[in-house]
Amino acid sequence: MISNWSNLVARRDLLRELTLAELRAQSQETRLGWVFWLVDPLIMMLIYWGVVVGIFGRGEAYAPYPVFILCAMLPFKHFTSSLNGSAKILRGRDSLIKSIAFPTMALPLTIVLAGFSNFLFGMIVLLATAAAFQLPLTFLSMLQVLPLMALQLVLVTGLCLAVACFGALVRDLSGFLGHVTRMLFYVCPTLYGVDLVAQRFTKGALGQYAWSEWIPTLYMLNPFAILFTGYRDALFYGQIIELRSWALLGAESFVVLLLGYRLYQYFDRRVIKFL
Amino acid sequence: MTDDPSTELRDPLPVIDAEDLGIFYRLQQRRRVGIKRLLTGGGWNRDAPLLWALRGVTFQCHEGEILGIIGSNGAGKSTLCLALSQILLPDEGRVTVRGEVSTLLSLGAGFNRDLSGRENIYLNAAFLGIPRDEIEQKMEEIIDFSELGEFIDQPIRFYSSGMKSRLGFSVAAALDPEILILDEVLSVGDRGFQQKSRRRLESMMQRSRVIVIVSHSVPFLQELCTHAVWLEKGQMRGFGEAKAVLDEYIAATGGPGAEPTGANEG
Repeated sequence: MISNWSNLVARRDLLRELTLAELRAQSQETRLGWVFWLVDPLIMMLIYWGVVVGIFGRGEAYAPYPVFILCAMLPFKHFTSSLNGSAKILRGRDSLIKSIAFPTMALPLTIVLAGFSNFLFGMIVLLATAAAFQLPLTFLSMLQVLPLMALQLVLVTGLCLAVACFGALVRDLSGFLGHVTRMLFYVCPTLYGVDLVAQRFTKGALGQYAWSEWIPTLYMLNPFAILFTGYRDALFYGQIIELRSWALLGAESFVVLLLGYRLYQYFDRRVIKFL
Repeated sequence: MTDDPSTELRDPLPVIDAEDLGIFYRLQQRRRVGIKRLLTGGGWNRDAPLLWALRGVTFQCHEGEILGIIGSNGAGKSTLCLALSQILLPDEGRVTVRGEVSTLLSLGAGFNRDLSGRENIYLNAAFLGIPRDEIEQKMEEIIDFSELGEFIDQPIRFYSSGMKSRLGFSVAAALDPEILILDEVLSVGDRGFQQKSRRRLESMMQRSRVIVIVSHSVPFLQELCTHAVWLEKGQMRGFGEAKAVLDEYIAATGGPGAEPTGANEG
């Protein structure tokens, strides 16, 4: 059974059972259970808050920093956990893949969906933190979170489908992925805002060069930069996201999904010989 | 099943039609490729020697037939099962399967060790394509058949391998297969459970349009099969009426083979 859209729809029971099994397995054998999904982002937020604000004495421009950091950290964690899981999933389930005919695309999709469920729990923490700091958010600005989450799912799914194939083909990939995602964490506006990038490149030492004006524009081509900024517009600044950002993020996400889907379809049966 | 009076009404098209079927592995592909070798251009090894696990395999299987696949270890029996199950696609020739295939190549392959037996029944059934509502209806029957009793709500990492196989077989027995492919499924549990599973398997066979059985055991295949394929080193040594092919196999190998255990490789 090849991995295509119609087979996935036909086997949607499998996708649901696999995702539920993944979540149950994560929570069932732990003391805290699903409560850990709330505690985990809270701990991460406290660590970054303590380091950036408490130790480095920065982040005053982004107060309240806990909400600011959560807006980027939660989608980034969904991305990294899904990516790392997808890189190993086909090799990890090789005996299953060689025993039962099913659309194997369900395996990386399950990783993405389980990660997204954890992300949703993180969003509860984010909304509670925003409420605790009494941020002046409007209903309309908060409503933008829904399409942002949908586009995040599309983008991460596309990337994970591609990485799942290459992870099966290239043993070393999962080792490198840790470094790539760490680099992305610092390159993307997670700890800082995009205004800092504009400030550094247009007013700093590079400001004397005419081309430096293009850097913030090029920087904002990164879909994660748009995504993180979008969450901050919606839940931190209480602003409406620019139409240009929606268009760019939407186009990039769907192109990535299409490429990831096509790539997976190409390698779908071929990759089994490598396992 | 060949004596079935409804033979004349059968679909003239074969249910399984393999024509010049070939599947190869690149020898280097079986090893994983490192990034360093990829960067130096040596990682993909498109010129690496090919190992043909199957080549030039041609046979047909019609409705009502039970096809046995026999051959020594490494003959290509399991690769043929993977091709018939459409897990692997042919590199050469073609294989057409008209109908929905259910494969019992390995029991409980999709189990999650952190989940209970009951939760794994839902999961395993989903892999096999059995709808949730159907499995809910059959849940008690599956648990009874597995003889796991109160262990059913324990995580299966506490199960013995025999308990896991029993649970795997019990879920698979809920299948209503159109085309059934069996490999490595008969050696489940103790002797009592083996007899029970054999009876269940026979009832599944009666409901199937076509059955493909892989075994090393000639007596087992002689008892059940109408037709047989004999594979050696990926090549087809014989195909036809089961008795003729199995007699040839006995003559060539000098013995009827082991008692049916269902444990197969190749």
